[in-house]
Amino acid sequence: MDEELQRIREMKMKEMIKNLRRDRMETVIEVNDESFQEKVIEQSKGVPVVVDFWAQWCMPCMMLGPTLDKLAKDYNEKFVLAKVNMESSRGLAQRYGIMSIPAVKMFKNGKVVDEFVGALPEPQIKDWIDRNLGDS
Amino acid sequence: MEGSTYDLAIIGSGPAGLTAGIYAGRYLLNTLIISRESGGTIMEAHRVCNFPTYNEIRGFDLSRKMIEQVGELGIHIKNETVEKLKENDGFFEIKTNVGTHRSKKLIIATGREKRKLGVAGEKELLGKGVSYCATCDAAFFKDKNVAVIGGSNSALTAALLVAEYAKKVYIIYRRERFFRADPAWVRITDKNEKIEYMFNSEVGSIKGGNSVEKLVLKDGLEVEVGGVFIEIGYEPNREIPKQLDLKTDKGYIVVDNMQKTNVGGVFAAGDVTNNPLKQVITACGQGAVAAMSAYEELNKENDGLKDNEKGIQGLAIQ
Repeated sequence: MDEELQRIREMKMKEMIKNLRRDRMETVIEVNDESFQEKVIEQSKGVPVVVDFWAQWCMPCMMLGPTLDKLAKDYNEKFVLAKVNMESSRGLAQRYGIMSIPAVKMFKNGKVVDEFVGALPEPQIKDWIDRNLGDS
Repeated sequence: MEGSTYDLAIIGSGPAGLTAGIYAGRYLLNTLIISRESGGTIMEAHRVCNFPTYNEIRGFDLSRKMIEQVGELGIHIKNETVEKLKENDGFFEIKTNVGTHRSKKLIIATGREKRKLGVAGEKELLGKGVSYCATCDAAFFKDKNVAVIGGSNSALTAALLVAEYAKKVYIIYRRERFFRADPAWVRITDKNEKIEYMFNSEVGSIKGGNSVEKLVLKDGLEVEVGGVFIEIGYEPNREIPKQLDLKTDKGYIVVDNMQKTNVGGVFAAGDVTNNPLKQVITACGQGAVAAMSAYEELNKENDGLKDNEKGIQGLAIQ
């Protein structure tokens, strides 16, 4: 009986923590060289993180940005959208071998599972997200 | 099949499609704009300096303003990809990745896309050294050897920009000199010590593993570079004209000065047409005329219908 109670208590506790996290989860965040480890690598162990490497000087990035924002909202916490500004995060550009932007990478369990470059049309990005979320 | 039949469907949402939308909106036509993405190639223009009322505006901002204006007229832009266009029983059926739309008239304003080289390695190494946007990516090639393919103004300006970061820039061009570029730009690239010209040269393939390592030219010569910027102009979408049997000239849809194509009820405007100047202002002008032409045709057809109805009523009175 005690064991049963303990199990229920643990389950409730997990659920509470999950809900708490959900309340706090921001679906669109900005990250840089310093916060990348925590906000992308660590966070992607719980929820997929889509990283958008962009810069102000890149017009296709400016086109893609609002589309990704919209999708992050539509998918309602199924993934977190993290934006990395190349102007201030040169370290990450090197680390991930960015040679063309916009570059979008999906992180799961701390690793890149898929990526694309260029301002793809919305239907194509949706397919890409669905394909990658589906695998989890 | 979903929803009602539109008076007018506009394919494409660059300046031509959006202006057609603005005019159609003011003609109170039941209008739908279908576009893969909102904005068109002008969105990628760093600066537009020849659009009346603006000394200088970002292509992105100009496009946004047009999209807002279309929105205020109550016209929806559906971000869908057109898969199949056909005429069926006097209507046009537009099959997209989402569904099928129907319209009485059609304006094609699908513009142009950057031309691809079409060589091995180009697709595979996209984002790994192959780039079509020097403004976007020049900064990632610091102290590297880089090639720019092409000989137009956009190739030369790309080379100048890349030279600000790269160690060396090869301009690889298939002709023996820069026929198509402004002499003013050529004079500047001539003086740039980082830039080297390779005329009469064509790329055969792009080689590399994780990133671009070298180019192999068609004459067998190899050029070691860490990046390739492809600036060989633009080309129109050829699929839509083919599906509708539209007459084209070098891929561009042939139109008359009312923006009519050879197929009844189908109009075309902007960069996708065989117009002599591919600019925002000309695209807007053509979009406006195309919308008016569609409106006039619809009016004539409606009038015809009313005359018929009158005739029937007349008979009934007798």
